[in-house]
Amino acid sequence: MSGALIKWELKKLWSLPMVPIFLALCLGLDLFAAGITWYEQRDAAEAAAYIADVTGQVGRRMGPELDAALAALPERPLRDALAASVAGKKDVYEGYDAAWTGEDLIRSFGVTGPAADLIRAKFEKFQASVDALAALDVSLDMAAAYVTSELYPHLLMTLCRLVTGEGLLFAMLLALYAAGSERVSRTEQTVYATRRGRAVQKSKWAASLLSALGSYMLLCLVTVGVFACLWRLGPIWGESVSTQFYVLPFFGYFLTWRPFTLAGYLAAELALGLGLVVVFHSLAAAAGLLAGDMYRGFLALFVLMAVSVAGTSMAGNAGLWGLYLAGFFLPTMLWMDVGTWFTHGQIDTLFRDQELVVLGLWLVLAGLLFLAACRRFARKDVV
Amino acid sequence: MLSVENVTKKYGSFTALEDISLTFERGVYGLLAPNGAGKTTLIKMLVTLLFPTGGVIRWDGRDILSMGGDWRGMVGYLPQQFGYYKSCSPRSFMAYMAALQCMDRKTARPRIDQLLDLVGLSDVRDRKMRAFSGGMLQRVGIAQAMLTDPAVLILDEPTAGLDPKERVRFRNLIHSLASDRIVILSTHIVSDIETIADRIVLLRDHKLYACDSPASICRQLAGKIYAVPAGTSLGPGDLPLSEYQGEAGAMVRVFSEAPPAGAAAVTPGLEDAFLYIYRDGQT
Repeated sequence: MSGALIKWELKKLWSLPMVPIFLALCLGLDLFAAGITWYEQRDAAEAAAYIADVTGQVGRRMGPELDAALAALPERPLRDALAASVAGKKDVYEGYDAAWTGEDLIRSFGVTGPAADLIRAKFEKFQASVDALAALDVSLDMAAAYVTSELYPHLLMTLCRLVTGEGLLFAMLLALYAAGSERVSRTEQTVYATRRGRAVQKSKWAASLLSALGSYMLLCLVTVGVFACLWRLGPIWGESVSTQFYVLPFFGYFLTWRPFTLAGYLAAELALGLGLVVVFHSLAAAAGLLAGDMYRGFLALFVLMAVSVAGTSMAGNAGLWGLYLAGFFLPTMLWMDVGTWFTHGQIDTLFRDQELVVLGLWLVLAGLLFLAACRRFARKDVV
Repeated sequence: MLSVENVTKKYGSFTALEDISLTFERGVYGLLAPNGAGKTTLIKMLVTLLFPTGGVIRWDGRDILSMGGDWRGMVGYLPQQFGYYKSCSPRSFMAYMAALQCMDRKTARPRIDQLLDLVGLSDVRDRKMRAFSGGMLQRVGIAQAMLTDPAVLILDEPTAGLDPKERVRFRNLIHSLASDRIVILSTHIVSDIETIADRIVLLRDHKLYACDSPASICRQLAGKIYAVPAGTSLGPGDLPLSEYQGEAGAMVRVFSEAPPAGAAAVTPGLEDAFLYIYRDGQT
């Protein structure tokens, strides 16, 4: 791989109208998603801004002192709503029984056999994390109070799912195009007969990966930037993501293996997304090389991904719990869980930091797969 | 010296080339055969785009496959279908090819200008190739093939898309380039190589039929080519080769073991040999 060639490949990639257009469409969609929710929830945004403003004066930890400080604030409907939502709140993680949560989930989903034992064991270990969260009183973080249940999922689930999804799709398209571009432009004979030969695919891989990472970071930056401008959160960024106000349907409290602030969790989520971009990019590059054609490569990849998602879901429905749990070691299922990464993961994960382990595993596997594809490609006839 | 030793290429049960053995030394080699005879297959094996099913190709005794990039760096190649990037100018395309050939920028830049000048594209070197004619594109292809001043220049159907004037210009160019290198030129157009090739390689039935000088190939038909007026009835062993307009009207060149009635013996040309060897649609 040479720097000069990577520069050339970058130039070639970005000279395609499709590439900047796709990126612009993604940015447009992100802005729309961030903007439309803000517009529909203007009252919530106003309340969040008010809460952010008064946090400096009244403090961030719920309890009698906060109640008193709120009562001293000038009377207005937003203050009343805030005071009502935080009044009498207790540390709900004190005495929280993680094992009970595990049993409840196992019973609700009907998990049986060794899978149930593994999930049970995970929740037993999770108790230490809950205790640590309780010791930090994070459940008493006011965060955005009653607005939290709208604000957090919008940012951490909807927007993050959108941005990571776009990042992954764009990475795959870039990798597939880079792998198959010479065939499309009918230049493969000229290019592969040069001194660099078929090894130019490694420079293409590097160029498309740089483009994918750069684009993903731009998407993150713009989306989070616009969100931050619309929702003036101020000190709320430093509030715990595990505040008791953040409760998800069928999931319960947003309990994580380690304490996270809202900003910290968002950063961790987007960073893991960055790792997934690398994985999906390398898988797509390998698919493009192995299929020998970007369209066939895309189709093969799409089918494999669809089968992995549908297969895991069907395994769960059919009570094949071993298969279901194994499914969450696939990168597609890892992405499907975006928004609940680093939590107890319900019945989808088996141990602490499974997301990181799966990511690490696939970074290695995807890298090896790409190298194997390059090796095969080097001995493949260019007909 | 480039040597092809017992090379065979099969695609499943189809044999594209069988047991080809050839030796190339300095000079122009015309690879002459009808379409589908295996010319491009042989050429693609020479540039390592295809891998032989059997046999080996050596450069100065070394297997070209084990030489990898070192070998490809010594070869200039113009494929049959020369692809290009529509939004590129000849100069930027050549610069990209130079990067692929691992040439440093300082060496590449003057070389690119020199080559574009040589093929008559200096005036349009910064214009996008989207609007180029077939002949102009072919000239870009020839220029990129010459980029590394290769020891072996391989041109697959290089005159496709060229007008008669460009063809002549191209022949002259090849002739001037061949003095210190091997030039392998594949074509099914006899006139492309008749005057410039030192040796003609003929493939038939996916095997090597002959590798000889044009004169020697033509000599095999000496005394067997006749010109007769069109419409003359021919004997059962006579083989009409081509028609042409003579001073006395339409004439037919005929291969015959014995002179047909009213026939005049003519000097056999490479085209006669080509038409005779590939009679009855043989490839």
